[in-house]
Amino acid sequence: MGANIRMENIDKRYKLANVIRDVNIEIQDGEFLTILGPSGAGKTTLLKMIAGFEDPSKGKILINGNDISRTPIHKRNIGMLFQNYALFPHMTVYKNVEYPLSVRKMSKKERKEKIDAVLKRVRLSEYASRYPRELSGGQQQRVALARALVFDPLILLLDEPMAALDKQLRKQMQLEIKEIHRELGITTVSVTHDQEEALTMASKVCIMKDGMIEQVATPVEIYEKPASVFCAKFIGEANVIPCPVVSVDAAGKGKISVHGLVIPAPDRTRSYAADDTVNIVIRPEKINLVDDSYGGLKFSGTVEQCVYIGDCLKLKVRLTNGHHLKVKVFTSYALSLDVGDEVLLGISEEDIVQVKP
Amino acid sequence: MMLWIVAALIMLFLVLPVLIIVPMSFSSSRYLEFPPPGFSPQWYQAFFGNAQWVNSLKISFELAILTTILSLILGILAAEGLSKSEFRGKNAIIETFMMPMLVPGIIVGIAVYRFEAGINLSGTFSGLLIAHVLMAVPFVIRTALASLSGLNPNYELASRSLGANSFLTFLRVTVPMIKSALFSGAMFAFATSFDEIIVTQFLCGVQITTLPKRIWDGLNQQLDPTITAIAAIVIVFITAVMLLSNAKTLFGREPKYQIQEEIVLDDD
Repeated sequence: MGANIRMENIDKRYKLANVIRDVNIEIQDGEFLTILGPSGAGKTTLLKMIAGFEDPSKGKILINGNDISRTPIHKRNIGMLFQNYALFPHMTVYKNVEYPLSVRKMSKKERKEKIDAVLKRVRLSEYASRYPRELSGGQQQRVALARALVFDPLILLLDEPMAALDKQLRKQMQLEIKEIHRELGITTVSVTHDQEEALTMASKVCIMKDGMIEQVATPVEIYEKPASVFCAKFIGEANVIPCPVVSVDAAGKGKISVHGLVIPAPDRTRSYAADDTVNIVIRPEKINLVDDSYGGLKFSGTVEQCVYIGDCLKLKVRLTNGHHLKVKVFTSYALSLDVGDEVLLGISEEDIVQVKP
Repeated sequence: MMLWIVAALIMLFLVLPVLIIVPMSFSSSRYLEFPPPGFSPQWYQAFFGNAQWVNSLKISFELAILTTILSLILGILAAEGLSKSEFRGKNAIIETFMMPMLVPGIIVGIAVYRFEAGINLSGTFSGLLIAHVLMAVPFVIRTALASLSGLNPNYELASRSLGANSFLTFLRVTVPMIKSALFSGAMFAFATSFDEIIVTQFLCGVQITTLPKRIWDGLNQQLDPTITAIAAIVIVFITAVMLLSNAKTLFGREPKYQIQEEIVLDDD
C-alpha cells in the first residue's frame, strides 16, 4: 500500500471563471500535504478533483503512475473527511463505519474485526450503537474519521476538517489526526485556511492564490523562506520592505538599501539592474533589542505601540526615516519597555529573505 | 386563552360535519336523520351483506394501494432525475408533471376517457389504475423534489467516496434520508386514489366500480343510509392511518443520551 499523487497541468474552468490554472504538484507516498489559501483560491476544487467530485477541464491526475482523471468516485479508494462530517443520520455509528465494508461485500466477521479495531483507535467503542445526533461534534468527527479509514484507502482527504470545532477541541483533533497519520503512514491531503493548523499537521504546505500554486515547501521553509510577499504575509507576521538597488557591479551582483543601510541583495542567484526594486521580508521575532556593540544591521527608533501578549511583547517601532517595523521580543528581555522609549534594533543579515513581489 | 377557544371552535367547525356521520351510521331509523331516534347496527349489516358494496370497497383498496406503489416508483425516479440535472426547460417539465393537480378533474376525465376508449382500456381496472397514477404522481414528485433539493449533496458524495456506486447510494443513503417526504407523498397518493370521483366517473365499468362511485350512485338513486356506515368505516380507517403515521411525533421518545464534549488537556 501507499500512494504517490501527481497532478499535471491541471486547469479547471467553470462558465465564468478559471478556478484552477495550470497546477502541477507531486505528493510523495506518506506525505501530509496541507493546501492553504484564502477562500476562492481553488484549494477545495483541487481536493474535489482528487476525490473525483469534479473533473479537471485539462490535465491529468496520476496515482502511483495511473491516470485516474476519469475513474468514477467509488472506484478510487480514497477516504474523505467532510467539513460537516456527512455521517448518515439514519445509521448508527457502527453501521456508518460498516458502510464502506458492506458495499465492498466483505464478510461479516472480517467487518466486525475491522470496525472494532478502528472504533477503538478513535476511542469510541462504547458509542457503537448510538446515532450521529446523539454524539458531540468531536465524537462525530472521530466517527467520520473512522469511516474514512476503515477500508484502508490509498489516500486520506480532509476538507477543512476542523472548521466546525471550537479552538480547544480543534487543537486536540489536529494532534490526533497527526498521530494517526504517523501511525498509518497514509498519504494525506488536507485543505484549510487556518495557517496554524497547516503548520501543526502538515509535513508539506502548499500555498494557493487565485487558482495557482504560490509555493510548496515544508512548514519550516514556508515560514523561514517564503517565496513571495503573499506567502510571507499569509503565514505568520512579516515586515515586507521594498528596497531599491543602489549599485550593481560588473558581474550583475546588486546592493540594496534597507531603510538606508546598504547590504548585498540576499538572492545571489540572479543579476540586477540599476533601477530594480526588490522585496525583502523580515519576521518580527528576528529583530532584537541590541546595544552599540552589535555587529549586524542596526536601526534606531521610537516605540510607538506596545502590546503585551503574555510570553511576548509586540512592538511597532518608528524608525528615524519615518518607516515602521513590527518587532516581537520575549517579555523576559523587555518587560520594562513602553511607548515613547528609544530603542536600538538589530537584524542579522541571514534573517533577511528576498521574495518575489 | 381566547386564542385557544377560537382554535377549538375552528377545529370543531372543521370536523363536526364529518363526525355527525358516525352516530347517524348507528341509527335505527330507515332514513337519514339526525339526531338518530335509536341505535342499531342495521346499516353495517346492510353494507357487509351486500356483495356489490364489499366488492367496491375491495376494488378501491386495491386501486389505492397499487396507485401508491406505482406513483412512488415513478415519482421518486422523476424527482431524482430532475434534482440531479440542470437543463434548459427543466421548470417547464416540472410544471408539466404538476398539471394533473391543477387542471380541473372534469377535463382530465374527458381526456383520459377519449384516450383509453381508443385503446380499449376504458372500464377496466388497468384503465382506472393508469388514470389514478396520473392524478397521484404529482404529489409524490412534489414532496420528493422538495426533500431532495434540500438534501446536502455531501451525503451522496460521502457514500460514493466510500465505495458505493450511484445506484447503491440512492438506495442506501438517498431514499432513507428522504423517507418522511416519501411517506407523506405516499399518503397523498393513497388518498387521491381512494376518494377520486370525477375522473373515475368516466372510466368505471359495470364490473369495476370504486367505492366513491358507488356511494355517488347510491346518493343519486335514493338516500340509502348504508352510505353512513361506509363513511364511518372510512373515517375510522383514515384516522387510524394518520395516527399511526404521526405516532413518532405524537409519542416521541426523550433523547437517550447526554451529549458532552470530552476534551483531553495536556497536563505535563
